Amino acid sequence: MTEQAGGSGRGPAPPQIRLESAHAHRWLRRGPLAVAGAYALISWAYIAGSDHLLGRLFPDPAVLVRISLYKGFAFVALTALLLYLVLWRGAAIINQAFAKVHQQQIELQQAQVLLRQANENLEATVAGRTRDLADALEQARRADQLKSAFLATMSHELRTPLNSILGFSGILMQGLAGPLNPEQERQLGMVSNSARHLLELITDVLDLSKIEAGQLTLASEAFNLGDSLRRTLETVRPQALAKNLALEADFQPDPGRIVSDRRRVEQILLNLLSNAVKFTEQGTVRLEVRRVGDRVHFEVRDTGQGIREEDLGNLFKPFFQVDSGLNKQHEGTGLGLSICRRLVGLLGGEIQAESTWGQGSAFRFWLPTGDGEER
Amino acid sequence: MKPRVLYIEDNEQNFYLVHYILSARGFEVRRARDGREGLQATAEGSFDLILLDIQLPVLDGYAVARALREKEDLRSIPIVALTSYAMPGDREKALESGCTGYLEKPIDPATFAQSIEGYVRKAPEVIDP
Repeated sequence: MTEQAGGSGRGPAPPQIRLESAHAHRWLRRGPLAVAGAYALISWAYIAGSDHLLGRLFPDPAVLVRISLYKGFAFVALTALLLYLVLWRGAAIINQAFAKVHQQQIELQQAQVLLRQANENLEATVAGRTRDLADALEQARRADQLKSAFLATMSHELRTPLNSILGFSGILMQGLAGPLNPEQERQLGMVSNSARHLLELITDVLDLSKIEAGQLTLASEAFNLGDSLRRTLETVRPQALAKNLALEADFQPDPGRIVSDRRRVEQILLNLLSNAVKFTEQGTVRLEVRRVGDRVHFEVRDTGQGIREEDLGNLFKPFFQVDSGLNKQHEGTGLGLSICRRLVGLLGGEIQAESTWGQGSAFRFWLPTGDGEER
Repeated sequence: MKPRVLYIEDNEQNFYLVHYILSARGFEVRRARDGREGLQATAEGSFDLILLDIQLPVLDGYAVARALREKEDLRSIPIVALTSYAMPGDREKALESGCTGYLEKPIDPATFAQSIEGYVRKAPEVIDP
């Protein structure tokens, strides 16, 4: 753009002008010399030739003088005519050349005006586009902020009433507000369970939305993985005990410290472990953790009913719930594994599931140990 | 003497819930409905603990915590942020603003009073003039 604007002073079509002016120039330089030369030659030949001829034709000097005088007049007249012709032609050629130059100057000016207009239009268009882009960017930024604000508000607004529901049903069930009969207790238990389930759903949906909206900020801190594993196991132990399942763990040698997001790592583990407990009716849920090079490998294995092969592919999709045959007995959000996969991905690892129908499942994932620290 | 708690909370039911649980455990609970009212209350009376909702009208919880920490005589009072977890980093933000602890809503009525007692006990003794 700027290059074009800079070149606009010169404009197009100079070659033609140069051709025309060169023609005129050439004529002006060579023409007069040739004419003058030719004139001198012809004059000399004429004067010498005619004097010689007239001297022979008219021997009488008086007659010769008169005749010579007429000849002189005729010569002057002829010369004047010739001069006139030469000048007339030369002027015409010069005029023509100047007219052409003038014409081309006008065209050049017009072209420059057009070029300047085109440049101005181009600048206006570019400025317009830039403005549009800036507007779009600003709009996107505002939409992003709105999205964040929306998520935060939803999280707050949905949890606030749940706080009341869970809190008051808890108080009532504890008998703090007076004794309950067994039926009241049972029904309140249902209220409480439903509320807790709703809370899980809200938490999961918001987690997933945050991940998808790119709003999830991950921590990167060094922490003791062994402590995290023990903490998570203690959280699921009551559930396993209630179902009479053995909860085994093997993470010897101790995996040591890793750099990752502790809360999210525990969230993934808790999800897989409580899933395993949920879908296992008898036998064992086992957690195995090994540090290999700059990766930590996790495996959660159960002796539950397993997952059908056709379901394995859909397992990590949002809202997918395995038709367990036992159905609604396993209340979940259907978002847990989907969140797990995304979290593992965000933390730089990979997750996969393996299962034999009727014999149990194994969920394996690995995470980078972070900052290359070797144990 | 009953331990005195100031609960700055705009939601009626949430206040009633906490009030009910803590009263049953022998606390005296005073309420402020927004941040400014909360600051006023701390100027008028003395408390052993301040429970602080974060999403408050007029002046939000972070601002209240910061303002409280600027007052010489209130610097040692434990402030516990009590809020529905909204976005990652909220806990850090609360602690940075000067809160002593951070509890998430929904609260668990079975353990809530205990954890509040823990915060009151942990606090260095407040000398009442």
